Parts: sequence; structure tokens; C-alpha cells
Amino acid sequence: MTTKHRARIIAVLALFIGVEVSAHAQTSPKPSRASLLEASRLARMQTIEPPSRKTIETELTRFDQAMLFVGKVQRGWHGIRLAGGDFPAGAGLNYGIGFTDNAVGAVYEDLDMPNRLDVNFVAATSTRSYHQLSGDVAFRNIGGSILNVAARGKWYEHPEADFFGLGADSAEDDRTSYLDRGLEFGGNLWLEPIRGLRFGGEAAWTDPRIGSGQDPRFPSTDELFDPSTIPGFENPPEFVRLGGSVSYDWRDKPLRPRAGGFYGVKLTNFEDQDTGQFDFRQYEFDVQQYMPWMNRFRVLALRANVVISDADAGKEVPFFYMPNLGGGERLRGFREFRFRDRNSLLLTAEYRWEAWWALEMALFADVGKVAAERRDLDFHNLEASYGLGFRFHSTEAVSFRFDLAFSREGFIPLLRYTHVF
Amino acid sequence: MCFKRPTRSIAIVAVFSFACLLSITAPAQQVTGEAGARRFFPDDPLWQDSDSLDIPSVEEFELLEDYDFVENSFGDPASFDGPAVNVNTLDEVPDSSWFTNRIGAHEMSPSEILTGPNTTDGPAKGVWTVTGRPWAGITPKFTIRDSRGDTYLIKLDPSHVPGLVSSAEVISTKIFHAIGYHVAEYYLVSIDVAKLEVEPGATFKFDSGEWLPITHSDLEHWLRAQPRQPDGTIRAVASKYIAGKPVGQFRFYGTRSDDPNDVFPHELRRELRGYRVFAAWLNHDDSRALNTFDSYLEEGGRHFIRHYLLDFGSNLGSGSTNPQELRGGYEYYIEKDKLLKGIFTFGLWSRDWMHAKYPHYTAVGNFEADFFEAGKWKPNYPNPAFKRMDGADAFWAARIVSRFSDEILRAIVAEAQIGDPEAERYLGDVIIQRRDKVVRHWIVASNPLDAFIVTRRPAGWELSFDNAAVRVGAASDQASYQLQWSKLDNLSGREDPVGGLVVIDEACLLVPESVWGPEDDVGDRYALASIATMHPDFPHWSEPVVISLRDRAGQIDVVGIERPRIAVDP
Repeated sequence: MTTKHRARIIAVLALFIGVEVSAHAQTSPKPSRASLLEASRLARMQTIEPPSRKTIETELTRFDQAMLFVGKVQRGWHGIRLAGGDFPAGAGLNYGIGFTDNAVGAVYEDLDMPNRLDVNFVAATSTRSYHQLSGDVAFRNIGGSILNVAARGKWYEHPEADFFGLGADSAEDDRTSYLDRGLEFGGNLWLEPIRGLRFGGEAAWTDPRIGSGQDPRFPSTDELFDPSTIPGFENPPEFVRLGGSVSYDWRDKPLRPRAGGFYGVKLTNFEDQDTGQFDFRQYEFDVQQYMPWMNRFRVLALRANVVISDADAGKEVPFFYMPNLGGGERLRGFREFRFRDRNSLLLTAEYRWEAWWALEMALFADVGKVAAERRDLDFHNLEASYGLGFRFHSTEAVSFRFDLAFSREGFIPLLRYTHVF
Repeated sequence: MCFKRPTRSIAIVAVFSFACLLSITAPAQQVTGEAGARRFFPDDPLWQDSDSLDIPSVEEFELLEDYDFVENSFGDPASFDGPAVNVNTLDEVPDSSWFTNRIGAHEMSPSEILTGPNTTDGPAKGVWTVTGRPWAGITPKFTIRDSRGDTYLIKLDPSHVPGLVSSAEVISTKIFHAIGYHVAEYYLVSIDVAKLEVEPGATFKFDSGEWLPITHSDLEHWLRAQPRQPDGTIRAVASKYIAGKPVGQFRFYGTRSDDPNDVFPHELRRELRGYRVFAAWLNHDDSRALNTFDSYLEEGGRHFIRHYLLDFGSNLGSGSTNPQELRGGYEYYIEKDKLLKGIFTFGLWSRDWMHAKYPHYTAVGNFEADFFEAGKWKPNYPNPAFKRMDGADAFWAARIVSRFSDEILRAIVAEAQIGDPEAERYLGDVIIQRRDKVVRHWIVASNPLDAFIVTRRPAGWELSFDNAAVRVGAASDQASYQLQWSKLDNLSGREDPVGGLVVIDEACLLVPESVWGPEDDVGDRYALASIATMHPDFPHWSEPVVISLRDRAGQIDVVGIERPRIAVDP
């Protein structure tokens, strides 16, 4: 409200509290409240002006318009949009261009639309020279059924992939980097006969290539480690991967679960296309359970994840397909890819509480280990991390989270745009 | 001798003036005893604030949602404090472009209340022509024109909570209309998809930001997930377009600088301050400026702005797109102390409302009465008019709420046609229980005397009154009253006490002839009765209500009521 505007209002109020009332009463032959009010309005009629906005409001209007523009850029033009790559942590700021057309030929993206065709292509790079070219095509609800199939292809190059050595005894100071480059083509199918129950199958051909790392902060892996001791580092073969999975998901909100659970099993067979030396199988078991109380404003979230790699005698599991621990989702007090071996065990517990309507907090503890032998996948000598999490969320999903994680190797702040589990 | 009055009667008086004259000047005069301005005008008390002077055309001025939130959450944008100033000398709100006295002023028949603002029986049967799809708001909607040529906004229930939003809209609209606010016409309708046509050239803004022509397949998509009723139609509410030119929304503070009729700062308007009580009752947590509507219209050859309340989709147990958030009504979006406690107590501290239990009725949502506390209810973010509500505003609103009977509230709920008798009964129960809580909490906020009547008796004129708190069961009947008469010189404002304190147990007494002040310039005489209520449970009722009586040619009436300005929690 401007000073001028305020002064006018004060004048109107003053009119009612007497000063001008007396004058009016003296000049009017028959004093009345109604005529007094009318007079004040007629007087105001002479001083009207269009409503104005305060400076902050004007700036917020500009900001809103700017955000509309950003939103327009994000939505893209005829499917062409800004896009980022699905790079691992440490890739730096990533950017690129993509093309997406979900439900080709239709105006609306109905998930249950029969014969829905989705097309997605991405070309992305990052400030640390990570690159990606990928594309996928998915046919959903084929013939109006529950069957969905997809085909995809991807070329990627990660020049600063982290490697600390194999096994639970690897050292933090042995951080190195290697070049992880590869080409992959594949397809998968999935069907959901009842809500939450999902069966999936996958077939893929991969051509991984490993080379010297280019992270200037750390030595290349082949400088600190003997490449011959790292399975698959030298001349990795092409693979054919076949897999199947089944899962049951009854989480209330998959992107911000507060109740329910997820139980999944995935079996994958890797077949070395060259010598057969790296033929192996991998089994992953994932169990998540969410136990709410106080109208879901408090939640105890538990997760157990086990990955087992199984190779016949004399055969090996390439290091780049080994499960790993560390990073934003798995053993958070340790760096990404900190522990790597044939088998892994991860147990996580989070106590989550609603601190504010848009902020959920969490006290969390992760324990886990990697082991070369399945029999060593026990509860002894587990690595532990713990911490405090800030999760900013909408009704349906975690928008971003800031986890402060601690371990024997120090403190790691983690900013992520996905929920942890 | 005292005579019984109907318990629901309110003050019956003929003439009014604006109470700002009383409320602002009278206390000072009483303290100093000095002469001041004229107290009453011959046409007091006014029942009609003629704020519909013909004004020049007004341009649309849309408020910015983000700014409304920011300025109210991080500051207080209003400039004025103090009592409501748009009330008449009887402490009532005159009819205006903001408010029309209805159930608070006179008996309304059930059919009047159930009809509410509606002027027809809804969109005419036959083909409905789809004309567009507004981008605003978060509920799914589109506009139609019926065969009569009337335009309606069709608002759909979110498909996963059928009946939730439409019920809230229908029920709330009827209640807010009966209270006295200007609201849009709302009709519960059944959409027959086969009878929808698209107007050639009609467009809508797509998610991509492009404007696309509306096709019939678009309609099918919009309605695809909506549950069908047994006859294949789709339940929705149709809101008739408000007549006139939309010119934006009104804020809950200040005045509109291009509207000469808008002379009272909104934060000092009784109906906007008391709106807090109604909003609490119906859990209207979205009671903010963005859900108001100003229409520049012509009536009787005059052009003026009429002010509406809009969008009751976040009322009762509805949160517009989902059931009401459990926070809704209990906590502002931003409350620093609670945020910090929430963070640093690691969840050991919890808000009381987190423990509330809600039934699982889809069309009811999260709405209950057990945890609800009328005085602690809050909208989503602070409202400057709500923050300034005082005991007199609250009393005014609570008395209106008390006028809604159980029967009429159940009949209003039935209008929503929820289709589940158990849910309908529950919703009615909760509205009734919350009504009782609201009334009991606020009607005792200040000295609750009302229904002042002067009646000629053989022994002379008798002043009688009622205790509203006792009447509604909010207080026990153990009150006694202390009365002090004074002469009032209307032209100077001078008050001269007459006699001493009179203690009475019954709510009536004769008006002595010695209490009249001198005649004013139109020959009227005035007397004041200052009445304190003594009640063991409510010591603050000893703050007196001051009644002004006028003797006009031997006819006595009540011309003024000044209630104590007792602060309530902001």
C-alpha cells in the first residue's frame, strides 16, 4: 500500500470519527450516516488509480515468467529437449539433448493405452568428459494385453570410473580411475498380471572396453594395480546377458514409500562370447519393508540387498560386473564404488520422521560387506556408516535429499534427486 | 416484570450507523469526559452500506499466488489494527457488495438454504457445448455452454476419490451462502458424454504449453478415468459463471485503489475477520486471497464491484486433488518454531494432529471433530484479517454459526448425494460437532449478551436481553448482571453516569426516566446502559457491553451496541 493510498484511507476513517462529521452535520439540512458514506466515496472517486504491485511482487512476477520459460525449455519442442546422461556419481555437471515421444501418435500419455509406443533418444556429455549416446523404444500393452517389450541401445564412455581394489580389505588411499567404455544392445519384456506383481525378462549383447583412467587427481588403475590381478581389466570379452526377474511391490508411493514393501529376485546369466572364461551367473535379492506409525508420520524403513555371483570352477567374474558398495544408495559413508567383489551384502535401516510438511528427516545406518566367497557373506566384520538425512518431498515423491553420512573413512555429504529406497 | 423472548431472536432494531463512530471515539470520551463528535445519526443503525455507487470501468488485476504466500507468511502486509469498522452501531454487518445478511438476521426456510445461490436447476438438459478448459487451479475441469446459453465450469472429482471434491463444493457453497457471503452457483450434475459437443474453434492449453483445438477424443481422455454412475453418466459439479467482468481477486488487507466504493481496509472488515470462524468450522484451509473473485457488474444502471468467495474444493475433508492433508487446519505452511522442533527433536516431539484418526470414507476424506479445536484452527498461511479477529468479530460469527440447526445441516449434506448413508451420516455428525465446538469456543470470547429489546410495559419501558452463551449451552446459567445507566449528549458525546451500579439477576429491567440525555438537533434523546456479566467461569465477561437507547418522540429503541474488544489468539 502506497503512502498516498494509506493517507486516503486514514482520511476516510477520520471522516467517521468526527472531525469532518461535524462539518458535514453543520452544512447538511438533515444529517445522515448514509450521506456521509456516500460523500466519502464520491470524494474517493476523484483520486482512484490503478492497483500497483510492490517491488517484490513485481520481481516475483518476473521470476514466475522466467520459470515458465525454463519450464517451456525443459518441455522442449516437438519432443526435442534438454537431457542429461545417466552417469555415475563423479561425472560432474552433465548436459545434453534428447528426443522423447511417449505414446507416439497420441496426444496423451496414458500408461494403459493399448499398443503404446514410446521412443527416447539421448546424447549427453559432462564436465568430466563422460559421454553417452542411447536410445530405447518400448511397446506397451501389446494388443491390449499386459505384455510390454522394449529394445534399447547404448554407447557410453566414463573416463574417470573409480576403483579401489577388490575385496573388503581394499584401502581408501588406493583410489584409482579407469576408463569404462562400452556398447550395449538389448531388449526386455515385462508383464504385470496383477497390480504390483511383475515378471520380467532380459536379453542383451554387451561389448565392454576398459582402459587407463583419466582422472588427474588419482593414478590410473593400471598404474597402481597389476592389471592381470583384476579380472576382466585386460581385453574384456563381449557378453550375452540373459535374465529374469520377479518382484512384488506394494509400497504406497514408490517414489516416497511410507508403508508396504518391495520384494524382488533377479537372476542373470552372463555368457562370455570369446573364450568362456568369464561365464557366470548373478543373483540379486532385494527386500524392502516400511513400517509406519502415527498416521505414517513416522516410518521405520528396512532394506536388505544381497548380490551373489556364481562362476564355475576356473571361471571368473569381471570386476566391472561385480556388485559394489559405497555412494549415495549403498553404504553411504563410503565413496562410490568403494568396495567391490563377487558378492555383496547390504543392510539398511532408516528411522524417518516428518519434521515439516515438506521435509522428512531420517536417521540412518547402513552396514554391509563384499566378499569373494559366498560363505563369507556373513554378519562379521561389516562395514558401517550412519548419518542424518534431509528429504524434501512433494506428496508423491522425494524431490531431493541431502544425506550427511559418516563412516570410519570420514564424512560425506550427499545431494541426490532420488529417494534412497 | 420480564417477559420471555424466543431464544433465537436477535436484536430487533430499526436504524443503524457505523460502529466505528462508537468504537473509536467512545472509549476516549468515556475516559476524558470531554465533548467529542456526534455519536448517532438519525438514520443509524444502517442495515445497508450502499457501496454500489456507479464507478468507471475497472481493469483486471490478478494477484500473484507466490507473492500472496510470501507476503503473508513472512510479514504482515496490513496497515491497520483495531476493531472492525464496517459494522453498524448495533455491531452488525450491513448488507453490501461483500455480504448480505441471511441466516444471522432472519429465519431462512430449508428450501431457501438448500437452494443457496442457485437461480436455476443447473445446466439445461440436452446438448452441452464444450467451450474450453481453464488452465487455472488444480482440479480437472472444463467449460460448457448449455442450451440456454449459460456458461458453466464443470469440475470433476479426482478419479481416485469420487465424490470428495464435489461434495465439499456443494455443501460449503450452501453454508457460506446462508451465512451471507456472495458465492457462485454450484450444481451437482451428471455428465452424459454422448451429449457433449465441442464448439468449433474451442482450444485448450496442453501440457507442452501449446494451445490445441479440443476434439471429442480430448473429452474422452479427460473423462476416461472418471467413475461411471449406474446410468453411465459421470458425477461432477457445475459452477455457473459469475455475471459481470472478472477483475481479479480481493486481498485480505488494504483497499482496491481503483474502486471508490472500497473505503474500509479489508483487515478491518467484520465479515472478513469473522470468516476465520466459518473457515475453521468447515476446515476451509485454503481461505486466501487467491480463492476470492471480484466481478465488475451492472445492476440498476450502476456499475460496481461485487466480491465473492470462490473454490471450496479444499473444504471439509477434501484437499482438492486428494483427501485433505492431515496438517490442513492445524498448522501454517511455515512455522519456524515447529520446523526447528521437528528437526532437532528427532521425531520425539510430534504435533497433536498427527495422532488424529480418520474414517475411510472416500467422499468424506480427512475430516473429523474430535481433535479439532476451534481456537487453534489455522489456514494454510496467515491471513491478515483472520489475525485481527477480536472477541466481537468472533461473537458475531459464532452467533451466525449457532443458527444452523442439526436438521438443516443434515439436509445440506444430503444435497451432496454422497450415495453412502454411513458416510453421509458421519459427515453430518462431524459438521454438527464442529459447529458446536466453534460456537462454544467463540461465543464466550467476550461478554455474550445479545437480543437487546426495549418493550413498552404498563410500568414503563423495559430493556431485556439474553445471554447467548447460556442459550447455546456454552455456559451454565449462573450469571448475574451489573448495570450502570448514563445520560448521553448525542451531539457532544458527553456521558454522565446516573445513579450507581444496579445488580440484577434477571436479564431485564425498567428504563428509568432520569437516564435520558438532552435532545439533539433532530429532537432525539439518548441513554446508555453499560452491562457487565458476572459469571464464575468467565471473569472476562465483566467487561461491559454498552447499549445505547434512543427516545424518538416517545418511542424507545436500541440504537447502539458496543462490545468489549477482547483480543483473541491471532
